[in-house]
Amino acid sequence: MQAVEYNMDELLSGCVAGNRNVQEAFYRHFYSFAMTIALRYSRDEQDAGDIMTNAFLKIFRNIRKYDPSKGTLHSWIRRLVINEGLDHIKSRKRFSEEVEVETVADPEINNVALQEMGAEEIMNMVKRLPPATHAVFVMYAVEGYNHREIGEKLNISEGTSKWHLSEARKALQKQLEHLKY
Amino acid sequence: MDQKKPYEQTITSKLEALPLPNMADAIWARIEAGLDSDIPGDDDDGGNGPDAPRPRGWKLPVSFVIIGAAIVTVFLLNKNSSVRDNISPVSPGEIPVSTNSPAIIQPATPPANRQQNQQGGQSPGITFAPRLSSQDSLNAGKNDSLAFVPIIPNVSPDSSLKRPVSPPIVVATDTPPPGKKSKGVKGVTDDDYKIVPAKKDSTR
Repeated sequence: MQAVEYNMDELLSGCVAGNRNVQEAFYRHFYSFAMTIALRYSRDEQDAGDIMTNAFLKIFRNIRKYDPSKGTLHSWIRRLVINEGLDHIKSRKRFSEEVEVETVADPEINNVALQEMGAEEIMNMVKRLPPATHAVFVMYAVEGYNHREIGEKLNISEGTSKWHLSEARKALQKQLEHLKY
Repeated sequence: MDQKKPYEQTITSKLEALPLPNMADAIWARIEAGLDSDIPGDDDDGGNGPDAPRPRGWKLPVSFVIIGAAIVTVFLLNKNSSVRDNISPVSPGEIPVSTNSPAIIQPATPPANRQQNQQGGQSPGITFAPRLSSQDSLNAGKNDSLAFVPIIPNVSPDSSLKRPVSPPIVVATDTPPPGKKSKGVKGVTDDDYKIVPAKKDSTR
């Protein structure tokens, strides 16, 4: 069976029309891009599969609402996958524990040690973080959100977001020291 | 504080190179199933008009409800008619005349008597209990038959088998006994209220 090539306009119009073949082509076109994001918010591949399934169902159900004038299709898909990932993390227990700190310690992390590590090792370290700390760290350090944006997305204050980032750094530093010995 | 640290950049670049699991087909199967389940809902909301096929499976529950209602109606009608048939007028001689205890429920009637009662057209569960007079008690040893015969007790003023009579209940009320309430004050008639214009005094 030969795969049919579609350009982006055909993919969009076909998905809006509900053409199942075009929807599958659309999904496979964005699979790597979306899965890379989903993996950051999941503990294992099964979690990532759940995030992907829910995210693409939302994408296909709401693709009529996509407005090219407001951003690229990649950024729209990225936002939907991140939101789904955050919902998934929120569903894990002990997410909404309220913490507030005024001064945040800023631990140093050995960058050389990180560079020597593989991607999977680093991802395993991130996955061991508590759910809220995991979400804040990925959003801040990987996705590039600031604390105000993180606070809005996670319904927490900026101070709480900073505290979670500090906790993530401490935990990662501890894990790096543990790995070193 | 908000500046990206070198280690964060390292993590970001490493995570970008994370090997992807080969789950594309499995995930697509789940997405497709989810999209397929959306289709009936969309059609229902689309309003296809009167020609649109109704969802299957509604006939069975509705028919069950109709049949059930019919069965209950027939059962109730039959029950009412049988109760009406079982009720027969009771002659005054069958009821013991007693001011204190008109009837007693007697469930332990022997089967022979019960059958007899049923033949007599009475309800099998409730019968009037015979009241035995002192003379009947003396004759009880002679008569072994358990035939059910209502007996009118001999009630006499001198009878020693007087039953305790509960005292009459007196309800204390503050309201006066009913009767037509007289209007107005005694001794004052309607004429006393008549207003008569005063005569003009020419002297004034």
